[in-house]
Amino acid sequence: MYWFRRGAACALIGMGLVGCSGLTQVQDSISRFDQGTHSASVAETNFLRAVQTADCTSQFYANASDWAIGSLVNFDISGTCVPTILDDKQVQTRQALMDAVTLYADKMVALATGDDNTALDANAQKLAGVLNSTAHQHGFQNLPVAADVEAGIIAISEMALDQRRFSDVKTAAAKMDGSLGAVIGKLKAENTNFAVGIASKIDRLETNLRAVVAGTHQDRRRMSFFDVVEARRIMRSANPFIPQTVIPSQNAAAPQDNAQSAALQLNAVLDTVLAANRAIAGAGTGGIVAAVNNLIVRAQDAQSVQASLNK
Amino acid sequence: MADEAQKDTLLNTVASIRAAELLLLQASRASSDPVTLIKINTEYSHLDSLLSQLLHAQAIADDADFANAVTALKQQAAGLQVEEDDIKKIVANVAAAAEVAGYMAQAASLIATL
Repeated sequence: MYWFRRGAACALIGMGLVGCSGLTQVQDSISRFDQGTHSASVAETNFLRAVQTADCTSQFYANASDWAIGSLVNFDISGTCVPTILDDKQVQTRQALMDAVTLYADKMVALATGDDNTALDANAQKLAGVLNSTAHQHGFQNLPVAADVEAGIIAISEMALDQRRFSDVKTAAAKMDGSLGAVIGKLKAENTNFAVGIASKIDRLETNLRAVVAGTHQDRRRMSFFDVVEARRIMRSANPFIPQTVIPSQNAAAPQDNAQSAALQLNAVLDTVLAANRAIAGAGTGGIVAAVNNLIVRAQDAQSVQASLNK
Repeated sequence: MADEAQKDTLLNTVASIRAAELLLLQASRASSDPVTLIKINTEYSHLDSLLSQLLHAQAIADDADFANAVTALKQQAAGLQVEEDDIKKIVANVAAAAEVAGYMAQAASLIATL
């Protein structure tokens, strides 16, 4: 019975769109587009947290060495810290931008099911409502948010809540391209700047450790061999890009390059979200499948690289 | 919130400070003298703190908060002149020291235009 109903639906829908196998392929691709967009969102969040992690790690070791040489009266091993580059509120606001992008992808899945109910689940509807009212009330005040970004968030959240305006994914993808681009463009511009902050903090840790180890060498002489080994272990734990084994120096990239390449990789993933959306809007089934597959592969890679930044 | 010109200035200043940091890192790697390394680390820490404030400032939206951040940056930029002189005494490589000082002077003059 199910297969009969499905077959009849495919025949009817197929008359207006594509063949049934093409339609299910597109539905599958929209579902994968949603999956890739969520992975990109996780990668972006991990990157923003990595900025804080590098900041706080650097602060911890700097305070420890200041205490050791008598510049600080007390030491702290609790690991608490006040981030200096990005505070929690600033991270949350940028997370809201990615929430808007994933909300859009969720809505596209709801549209792609092709049945009468194109509403999102209760949680997604609630998120759309929150984003919409926050943007309307200029609630993104701790973000240097351009007017088009704010308008983009409003457009995406209204599209997510709407059940009548969009009836098919191609029209929705085409209409929302500008809004999606405005939000993603904002995130990309900041990522490369924050990468400089990560590299600066990692290098500060190295100058700090060199000063401490050279000092302990005066007291401990041969035993300071173990201080060098421990310093390298600390550098490896703080810098996910440092080689696990000792390698020739010409092969070792500076933290600047590594943090920048992580940011560039993340930005490339955000670009593939936009490219996949444009494929949904304008390409045939093959083009959509290729663009979405590209998004999935890149987003999952970026997710694992960004996760390693926070270890 | 920074306008486009101010944002460019902030990012150019970040680039100058970061260039100076990388030269200090090289100077640190070239030395094993504890006193020199502590001094280099101190100078690096000052630059790193300034760089963090610059990145934080470019991410501020509120106009009043941004104005406060710029005031704080300008106060610290005045101190960069003193540190330029210190760098020349700390970094053994004269050419590298002059280069670090040059980047710091560039950063100070950029901050003054904010």
